[in-house]
Amino acid sequence: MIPSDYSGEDISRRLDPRAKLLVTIALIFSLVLLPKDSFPVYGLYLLLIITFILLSHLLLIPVLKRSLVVMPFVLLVAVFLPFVSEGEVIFQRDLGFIMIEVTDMGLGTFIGVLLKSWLSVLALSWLVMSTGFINLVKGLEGLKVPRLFTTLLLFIYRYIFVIFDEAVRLRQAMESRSFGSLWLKVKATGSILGVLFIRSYERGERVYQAMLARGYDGQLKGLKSNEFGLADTCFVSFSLVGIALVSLVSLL
Amino acid sequence: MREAIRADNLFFSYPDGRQALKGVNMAVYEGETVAIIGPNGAGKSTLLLHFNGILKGQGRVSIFGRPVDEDLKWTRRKVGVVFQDPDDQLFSATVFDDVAFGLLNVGYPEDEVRRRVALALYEVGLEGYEKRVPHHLSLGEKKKVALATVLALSPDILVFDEPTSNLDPRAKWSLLLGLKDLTQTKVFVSHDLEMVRELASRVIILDEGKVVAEGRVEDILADEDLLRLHGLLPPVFSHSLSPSVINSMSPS
Repeated sequence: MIPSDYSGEDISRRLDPRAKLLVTIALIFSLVLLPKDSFPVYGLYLLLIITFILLSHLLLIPVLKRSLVVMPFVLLVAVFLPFVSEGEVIFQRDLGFIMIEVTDMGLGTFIGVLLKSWLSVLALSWLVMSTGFINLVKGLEGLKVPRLFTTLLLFIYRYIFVIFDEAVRLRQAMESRSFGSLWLKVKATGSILGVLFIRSYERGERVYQAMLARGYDGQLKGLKSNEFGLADTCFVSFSLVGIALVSLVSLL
Repeated sequence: MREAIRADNLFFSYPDGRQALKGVNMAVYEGETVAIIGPNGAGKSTLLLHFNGILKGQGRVSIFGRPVDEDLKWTRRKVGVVFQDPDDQLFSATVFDDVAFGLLNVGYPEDEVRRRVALALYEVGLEGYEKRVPHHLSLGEKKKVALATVLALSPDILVFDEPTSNLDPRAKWSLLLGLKDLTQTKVFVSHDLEMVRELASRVIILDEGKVVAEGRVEDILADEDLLRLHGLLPPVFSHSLSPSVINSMSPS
């Protein structure tokens, strides 16, 4: 999913992206390890994430909206869980060729999985929307993710729009001359994909030449990240304590 | 006068067998501005990419008397190449990262990198553009940033591939006047005769991989037959589709 705020400007510049990354990772891990039926604790997590969102001066509704984008996929994966788990049957129906049974544990797992995924995505939405893609990747760099990976991410981010524009132009040129059947259109779309691939390949060559021209020697270099400030340390400590407390509640 | 660039008997074939350069002999002297003009496919861009050792053909290319491939790092600091498509040259997520790329490859300390980036952007009239995203700049701005990425390295020779292509007159003249103020030795490829007249002191005509003419800009641009022969001016007998011809073809 491409973040829409590709101005690259940080929405809340006060926190180091590394701090937010660390907190998000901790939060998602503790969330995943939570016993699946500790429902009140999910509410506490929601509260914690909403606090982050409001602290970053983000509007709640757009973040919530974005967090729902991936939910259909989660639903698709989780939809069979209520029917295949063990446990007490709470609903039963004979469809003639197959017997459908919903178990209590199955239903619990289903709802648990849905909530866990949604809360994780919500936390990620907060991270991305409050940091911006570029700062996020620089944060990853600061956390010692190999520069090859982070540079690759930035290249994708830089060129996905260029390639998209190229695809739009190709499609417009095709549409302007397209009077044939659907099959012809499908064939033309196939060759558009081919042309896009070749153009991207050639652009890659030219970009590499441009890199060489400015002294690239196979070693990607970067500036040091900003200092990890007091505010960042406080944010990380308080958030980790918060996450720990919320997890403890689930053990009670 | 010192020879800034010299090519002796330069041949180059692309991997598909197409011969782009067939024995090019030319020289550029320190402080002058040379325009290399010629029709499409004459080998102009191919020739430019030999000046900093991106392409290697048979023959000899030297920069200030030193073979290009003796020390590629040195060559690429002396010769700055501005590519035709700024989307090839600007491959980073932000303008700052792009201008800093070459500086980091040289190994400048951090404050020097920041100082030079700011200075280079100031020189092309785009101060304060550091945080901007290349994708969201106009073509004119992109071309100027591309120039800044090269100027930041303070090369002695500037090489441009079609610097004004696709620009509207306003953006073209804005760039052109900026280029005029640069004191470095300049070589550019173009078929924009208006620009050649404005900028160049000497002209080299390249056609089918060979130097076919060279001379002072006034002499070359005054020789209309020569320009016409190499497809740089409209043909004389351009009345083949004039109203009288079309009338004579109509059935009445």
